[in-house]
Amino acid sequence: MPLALAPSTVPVIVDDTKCIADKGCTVCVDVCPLDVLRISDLTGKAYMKYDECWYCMPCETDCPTGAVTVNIPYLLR
Amino acid sequence: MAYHAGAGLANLECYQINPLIKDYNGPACAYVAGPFGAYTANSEGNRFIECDYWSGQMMQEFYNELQSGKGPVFLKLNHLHSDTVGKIEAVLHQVERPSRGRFHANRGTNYRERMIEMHISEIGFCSGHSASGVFVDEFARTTVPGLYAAGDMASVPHNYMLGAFTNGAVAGEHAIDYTAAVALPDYDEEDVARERTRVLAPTLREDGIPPNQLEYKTRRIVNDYLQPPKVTAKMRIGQARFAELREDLEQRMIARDAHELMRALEVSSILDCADMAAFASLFRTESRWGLYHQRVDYPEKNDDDWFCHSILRKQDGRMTAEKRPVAPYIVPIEASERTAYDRQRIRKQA
Repeated sequence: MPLALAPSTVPVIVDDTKCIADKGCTVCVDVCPLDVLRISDLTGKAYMKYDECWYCMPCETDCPTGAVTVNIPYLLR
Repeated sequence: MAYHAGAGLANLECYQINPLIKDYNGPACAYVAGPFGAYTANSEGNRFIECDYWSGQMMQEFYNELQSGKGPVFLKLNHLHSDTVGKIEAVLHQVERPSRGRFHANRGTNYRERMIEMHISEIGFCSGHSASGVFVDEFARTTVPGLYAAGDMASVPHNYMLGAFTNGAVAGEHAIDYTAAVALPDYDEEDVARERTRVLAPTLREDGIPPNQLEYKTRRIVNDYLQPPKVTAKMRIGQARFAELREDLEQRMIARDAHELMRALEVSSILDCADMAAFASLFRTESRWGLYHQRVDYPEKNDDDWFCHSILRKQDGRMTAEKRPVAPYIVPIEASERTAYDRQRIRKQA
């Protein structure tokens, strides 16, 4: 049975100009307790792959370059 | 895991239900704000519970207020000085949930200006805020020799982090002494192979149901059929639906990567918990612990037959339940204190 994606605006936003994952940094991926962040094979930058965020914010707090922002998603506003 | 190892689990019908901020998965924390002068209020701004600290009876009064026409229920801080509110915010927005301030900023809600709407959470298990969990004795031993439990999953009510750390140390120290006297047992290679097959099965299917859909459906059925007030017929429908879900989980669930495999294993545990919640709730044919175990077909507390633990366990592959006497209290309790739990509703006093 084929699977379809349900579009949603993701809470975790990464500023590619500040993200240094392409230099080997994996801090946000490592600290996420929900295992939802990954480094993109295409861009070498961090991004939110699975929309299962709890908005706990260690990814934002621990990012050494301030590249990560956690937003409260639209459905909870 | 403790269940599958054969350990007894205590009082699982004593659910955990929390007062949360409406639409935000953070505790309302009237017990944090309470010592500073804040409190839980109805829509008229009046107190209706004696004690804001978590209990089943407190949640029962919360539920009653929601049903009474005086709901919804609010966290009230807007009568406090701005500096006091700032102190409370520092705890709630930094220690408890760092994104909570951001949530309130988005909503345009400020504790100083108006009361903050609260709501009742869905049900769960947790002795951290209730009395359910893997049965342990004073050394953190479960009913399975050599297996220990500490933290919110063990039957030590309201122990939180400090209790978890303390009981973890107690368990560790006792386990050291225990292991000194026993040799490392042999294990059966076939057991390992069987578990590996079970765990990896979702990765070997080409087609099927993703874990998030199984989780969503399990949670929906829990909310539809297991939430208090508990109704026997609804519990039984829930059990029948869980059996269908278990078949789907075992025969059709797919995991396409490591993350989905992790979620697949979590769903398996969530479904176990749902089944245990229904089974334990049906076993105790009385009402106790306020909203946590309010059975509408057995509305009264019955100390003669049910002042005891219920112990649920897996025996010969099946779920069973039995009574276990409550150990004599170490600290003497006044007769008047024994009923304090039942008197949470605010009353006029002379």
